[in-house]
Amino acid sequence: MLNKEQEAEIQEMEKEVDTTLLDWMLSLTPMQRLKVAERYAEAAWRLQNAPRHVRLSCDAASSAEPSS
Amino acid sequence: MPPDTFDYPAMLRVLLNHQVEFIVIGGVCAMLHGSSMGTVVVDIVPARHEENLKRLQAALTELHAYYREHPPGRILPNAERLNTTGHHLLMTSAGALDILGTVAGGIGYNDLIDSTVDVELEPNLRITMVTLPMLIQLKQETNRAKDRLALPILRQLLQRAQNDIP
Repeated sequence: MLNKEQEAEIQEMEKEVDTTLLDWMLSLTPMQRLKVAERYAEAAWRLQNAPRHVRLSCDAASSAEPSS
Repeated sequence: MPPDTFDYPAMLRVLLNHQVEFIVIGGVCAMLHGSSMGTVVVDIVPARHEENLKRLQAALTELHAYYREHPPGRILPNAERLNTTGHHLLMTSAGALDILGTVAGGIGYNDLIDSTVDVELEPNLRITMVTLPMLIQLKQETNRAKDRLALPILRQLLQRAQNDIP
């Protein structure tokens, strides 16, 4: 079970949930939601099994500073 | 190696065609409830009586399942091996599938079945998954970092459902 600190942290995080993404998911049918899950998993596994240079370029892209 | 393309509806259809009794839990269940948090596997809790485990073995054979932490074909799931409270981390021709004998410190199929809801994905493709309150309870009891990360979204969804916000 959660301790007090964890509970407080989760309650704080609840305020930061991106509700637009929830709105979008809830607008989909159950089958469409399942396909979203499937595509996410497919991409994650593909990345995990990708050659190292592909993973490195993805890491670099995700950690790049946004241009002003 | 995982297959190039995953096919979750096909995976679930094979399980249902073999009349396997199972409950979908975890990240896919969360996404079916409306969570936007991605997951990389389908988690199911099967009934662990002998007949069901034989049906599960037949379904897994059709799905070319193997223990994904070992080379393909090295160790294959069978009814005897599946009859444990532990977790079986498999890769199939339709995607990664985790078969969980029990969850959250000993909760099994019979404990969960009264806290489930059926979802029709398409005609003749109806699956059983845990309710949102039960999913939240399981996440709280399991209490790994990734479970805690999922909780804010799941609680938001529950709040919306309770307030009847579409």
